[in-house]
Amino acid sequence: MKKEEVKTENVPLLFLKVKSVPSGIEVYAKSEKLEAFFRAASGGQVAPSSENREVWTGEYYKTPRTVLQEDGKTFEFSKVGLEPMLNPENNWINLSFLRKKGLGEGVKFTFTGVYPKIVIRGFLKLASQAIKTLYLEQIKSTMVVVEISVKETEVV
Amino acid sequence: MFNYIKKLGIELEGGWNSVPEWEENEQHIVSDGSVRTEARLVGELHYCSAELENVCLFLKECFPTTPINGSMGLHVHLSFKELNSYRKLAESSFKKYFLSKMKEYAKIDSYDQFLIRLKGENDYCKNKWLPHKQLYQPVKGGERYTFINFCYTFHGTLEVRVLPVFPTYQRSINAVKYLANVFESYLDSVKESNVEMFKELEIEQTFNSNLKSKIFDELLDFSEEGECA
Repeated sequence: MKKEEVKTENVPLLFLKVKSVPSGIEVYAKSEKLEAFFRAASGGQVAPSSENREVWTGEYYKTPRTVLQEDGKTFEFSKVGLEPMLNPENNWINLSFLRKKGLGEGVKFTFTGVYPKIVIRGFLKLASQAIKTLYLEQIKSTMVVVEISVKETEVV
Repeated sequence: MFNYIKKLGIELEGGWNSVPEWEENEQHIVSDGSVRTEARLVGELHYCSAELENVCLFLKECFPTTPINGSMGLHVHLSFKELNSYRKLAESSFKKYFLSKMKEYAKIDSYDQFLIRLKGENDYCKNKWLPHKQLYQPVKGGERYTFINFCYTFHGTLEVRVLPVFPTYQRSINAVKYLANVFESYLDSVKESNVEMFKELEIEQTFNSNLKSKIFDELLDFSEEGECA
C-alpha cells in the first residue's frame, strides 16, 4: 500500500496594516480567505452600507448573524460602517470592515479620531486574536493559524 | 494667541457667598460633592476662551471668596486646532515631559496642595497614564481621576487635573499660564511622527495527500441559513 505523503504548507490568511495619518488612522486589509468565507457564508449576497452610519461606505457581505457567533466575544462583525475601536477599555473591537467586498484584493479605510501607538498596537493584537478565533471556530479542521510577522515602524 | 491650543477651559472649584459678577455672566455655580468649604454656594464655575487674557481675567474676577483648601481643584481643559495634537499628547513621551515640567513648576510655586497632588496623594488626581482607556469613553467614569484625563470623546478636550486652586488668584493665573506654555512648547518641539504597524497571519496546514485542498473546499461549501446581520 502506498504511504500517504504528509506536507506542511503556510498560506496567507490576513494582512492588516495600520498607519497613523493627521486625521486618525488609515487601515489596509487584504485577505482572500476571509473574503471567500464571508462570501460563502452570505451566499454571495451584498448590501450597501448605510450612508448615515458614516465612517465607511461600500458594499459588504450580508453574513448571517449565526455564523458570526459574537456572544461573549470581545469582537464583533455586525456594526457595519462604524469605527473599529468601540470600547478598547473592554478590549472590544469592531471588525465589520473585513466584510467589505473586495477584501481579497485589498481594501483601505480612513478612520477619523485619536489613535496613539498603544491603541494601534492593541487593535492589531485584538484583531489577529479575533480572526484566529473566527477561523478556528468556523472551520472545523486541523489548521493552525500562525502569526508570521509583526512589524512596527515609526516614520518621521 | 496660541499656535496649537484652540481654547482653554477652566473648572474653578471653591466656595462663594454670592455668584461672582462677570461680564459674560450667566455664570452659575455647578455643585460638586468633592469640594469642602463653608459658603452659601459651593461647587465649581466654568469658563472657556481662545484668549489666555480672558481666562486670566475670569480667574481674577471669579476667584473663590472662601479660604482655599486642598479639596479645590483647578481643572484646565484644552482643545487643539489639529486633531493630530491629541495623538501626540497621548504618547508616553509626552507623559515624561509633562511630569518633568510639573516638577519644575513645583520649585517655582511649592504650594503644599500642589505637591500633594504631584505625589499622587489626591484621590481625584492619580499619577496614572490611561489615554487608551479614557479617549473613547462617551460618559464620565472613575478612570478620569488622573493627572491628565484624555476626555476627547466626551468633551472634545484633554483635561489637566493636577493643579489645585492656588491660595491667590495671581498664583492660579501663573499656574495656568505655565501649563498652557508646557503644551505649546511640547507641540512646537515634537517632530511629526507617523506610526505604521502591520500584522500578517498565515495558516499552517498539515495534511496528507488525500486531504489536500479539502480545507477550503469545506469553507466554500459553507452555507448556513439565518438572519442576515
